Amino acid sequence: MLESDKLLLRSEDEPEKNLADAGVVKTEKETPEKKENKPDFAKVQEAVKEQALAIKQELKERKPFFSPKTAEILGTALVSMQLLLTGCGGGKPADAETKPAVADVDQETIDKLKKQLAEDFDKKWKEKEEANKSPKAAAPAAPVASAPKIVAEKPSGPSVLEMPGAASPKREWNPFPPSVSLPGVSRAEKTEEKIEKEKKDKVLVKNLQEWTGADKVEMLSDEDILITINGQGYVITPHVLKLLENENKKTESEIEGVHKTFGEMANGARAGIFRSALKKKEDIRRNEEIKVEKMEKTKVKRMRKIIKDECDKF
Amino acid sequence: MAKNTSINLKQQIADKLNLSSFSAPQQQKIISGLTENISNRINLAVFERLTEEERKELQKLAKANKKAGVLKFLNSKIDDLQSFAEQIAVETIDEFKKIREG
Repeated sequence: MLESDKLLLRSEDEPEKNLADAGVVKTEKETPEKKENKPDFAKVQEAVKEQALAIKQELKERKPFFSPKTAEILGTALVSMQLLLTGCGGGKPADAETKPAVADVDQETIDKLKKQLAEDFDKKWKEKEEANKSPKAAAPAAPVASAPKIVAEKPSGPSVLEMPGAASPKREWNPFPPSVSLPGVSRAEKTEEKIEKEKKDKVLVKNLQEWTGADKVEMLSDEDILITINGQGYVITPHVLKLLENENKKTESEIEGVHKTFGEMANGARAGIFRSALKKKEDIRRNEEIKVEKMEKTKVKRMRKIIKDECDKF
Repeated sequence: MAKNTSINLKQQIADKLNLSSFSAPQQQKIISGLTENISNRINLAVFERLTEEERKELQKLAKANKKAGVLKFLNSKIDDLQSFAEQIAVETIDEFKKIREG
């Protein structure tokens, strides 16, 4: 038997089922609940409308009634109050509350806002990209020594710029890290100053050794100097150093006693045994050497006396 | 809070009117219609209670869109306004039930 014949026979017994099998109509088996609901809902709706018509009729009979605006406000106020108090009602006032806020905004507005946001984002992205392409143009180079770059590091704990948990090299506390520079002082200038000071210290050590005839002279710090004379150590403070320097600057005339001694010696030489020999240049030179030697010896004594006196004060 | 309360109230009215077998949109439609009816009924009842002068005063407050002022005014003019409104609501629902069954 052909398939079409089968359909024909079935259509006589079950026309709807057959048509559905053939894809002509759709059959839907309705549940008892659905069958019951459909007419019931219509019935309920009918009842609501019927009641509304009756109320409208009553409203017509009461003239003049509240204006539509007053009726709306009044109804909303009273119904919302009623809803909150008794739990009866729903509808318009309740709807306004249950609907989410976005429900008041139509889809067109939402789409418009979305588009606007996307455009703004694209614009900012492009600006950022352009800025990244030309960093020199975007950000002017900062002057090297315009302001001190102070990196405030605490004696303990991480720097404020260090992120917690981030790996960072272990550094010891240094009040003047290499990155710190004073205003207007370059690193080269700083090095020059250091070299200059070292030179000055060397000269000072040499002078002190010469002035005092010390066994050893060494710098204790930037200011204090340790002098060892005959195994005894003396600390030369800036004050003592100043006294020594002043003593060194004194001329012969200022050192009365010494001047007198040299004068006597010279006069004695002139007046004594070597009178004729004094005329000779060699004798004069030698005489001068003796003079300086004597003076130096006296100077050493004076210097040592100053050091001893000052140190004895303490 | 208000949203939850409102949802809860809707559920209550749905249970009272035996609307649970309907779908949510259907329930919504029925409740909206019924609430409008309750609102109109309350308006009518209030109108009946007020004098001509009081009605004019109420119109003024309503025109200014002062919902709180409207309620305050009605509370001063109608004794136990809450019970009054509740009674109207219950009567309207009962009336609706009768129409539905009939």
